[in-house]
Amino acid sequence: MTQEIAAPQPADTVSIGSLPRRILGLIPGLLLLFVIGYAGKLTQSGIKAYVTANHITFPDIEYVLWAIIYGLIITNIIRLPKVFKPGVDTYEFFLKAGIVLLGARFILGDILKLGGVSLGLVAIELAVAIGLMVVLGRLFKLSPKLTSLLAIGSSICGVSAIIAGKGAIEANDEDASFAIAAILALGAFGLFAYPAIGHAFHMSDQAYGLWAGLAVDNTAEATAAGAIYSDAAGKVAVLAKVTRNAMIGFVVLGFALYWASRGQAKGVENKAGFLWQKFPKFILGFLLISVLATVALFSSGQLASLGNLSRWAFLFTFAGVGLRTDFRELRKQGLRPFVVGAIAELTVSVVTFLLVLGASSVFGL
Amino acid sequence: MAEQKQSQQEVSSAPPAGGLSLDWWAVIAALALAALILVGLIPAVPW
Repeated sequence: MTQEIAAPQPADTVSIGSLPRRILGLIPGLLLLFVIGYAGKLTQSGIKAYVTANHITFPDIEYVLWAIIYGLIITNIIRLPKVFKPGVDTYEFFLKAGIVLLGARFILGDILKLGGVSLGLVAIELAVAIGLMVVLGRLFKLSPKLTSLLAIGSSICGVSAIIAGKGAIEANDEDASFAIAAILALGAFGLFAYPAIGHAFHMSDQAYGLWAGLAVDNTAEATAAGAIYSDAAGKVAVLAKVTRNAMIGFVVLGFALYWASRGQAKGVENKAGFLWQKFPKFILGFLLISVLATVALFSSGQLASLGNLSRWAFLFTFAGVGLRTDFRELRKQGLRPFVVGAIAELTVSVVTFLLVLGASSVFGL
Repeated sequence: MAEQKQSQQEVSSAPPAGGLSLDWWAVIAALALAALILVGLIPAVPW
C-alpha cells in the first residue's frame, strides 16, 4: 500500500540502460495521455461551437478540466490497466518540459516584476503554512516527522518537497505516504474549488493565477488550477509556483538541520551542495528560454510555436493529473492527516487570497 | 526492510552513474525543441 501511494511519483532519474525496451513500454500510456488530453480539447471546442451556434449562454470550460475529469473517470471507475502506468507516469516530464518552454511567453521584465511580488508573498505564505501546520500537528497528535513533511509539502511543493524532506529528515515511508496522500487529495479538490471561487470574486487573470500558484501545493495541480481559469492565469500560476519551488532547498535544509540538531537525522555538511542538489533545475531552463526570448533571439512566429509546444506538453500533464488521482488509495491512508492538511490548506488559501487581493490593489494586478 | 527501503530511496534520489535527473532531461528536451524551431527544422506549431 505504501509503495502504491509512492508509485505515482515517477522516478526522478533516468538511466540510459535498455532504452528501446523502456521506450516501447511507455507507448501505451503516452497514447492514453494524448487521447485524454485531446478529448478534453475537442470537448471544449465542441461545446463552444454548439453554444455559439445555438445562442446559449454557457461558461467556456477550459479543456484542462475535461481532461482531468476523463482521467479521474478512467482511474476511479473503469480502472487503469497496468500496461498504461509507465507512460502515464511521464506526465511529470511533460510538466517540467512545458514549464521550460513556457519561458518563451515571459519577457524577463515580467518575471522580475511578478516574480518579485510572488517572492514577497511566498515568504509570508511559507511562514504561515509552516507555523500553522506545526501547531495543528501538535494539536492532532500527529507524529512530529509527519508534521514536518506536511509543513514542507503545504508550504512549498507538494509531493516533490515531501520526498526531498523524507530523505533529509529520515522520516519513514508511512509518514511520507500519509503526507503525500493528504496533499494530493486536497490538490484534486482544489482543482474544482479554486476556479469557482475565483470567478465568484471576479478575480483578474493575474490575481487568480498568483493565488493558485501560492495556494495549490502540487506543481501539476497548480498549473492545472491556473489553466482551468484561463490561459493567462495559467501562465501566472506557473510563475508563482516555480517561485515557491525555488525555495525548496532552503525549507528542506531548515528542517534537516532541525532534526539533525535533535540527533534524529544525519547532519548536512555541505549546505551549498545540498541547496544546489534540491534546487529544481527546470527553473533554470525556464529562465534561460525567457532570457533568449527577451533578447529577441526568436521571431514572433517562433515564440508562438514555443508557447504552443508548451501548451501541448501541458495537455499531456493535465491528462496525467486526472489519471494518477486514485481516490480509493488516498482513502486508505486514513482521515487524521487529511483533516490536518485540510485545515491548514484552508487557512493558507484564505491568507494567500487576502494577500493577493492586497497585492492586486498595491501593484495593480 | 526499513533499511532496504531507506537505501533504495537514497539510491533513487541520486543520479546513477551516467544518468541525469528528470529535471535535466526536461530541460534538454525543451532546449532541443527550441533549437530546432530556431533553425527552422520545426515549422510553425499550431494549437
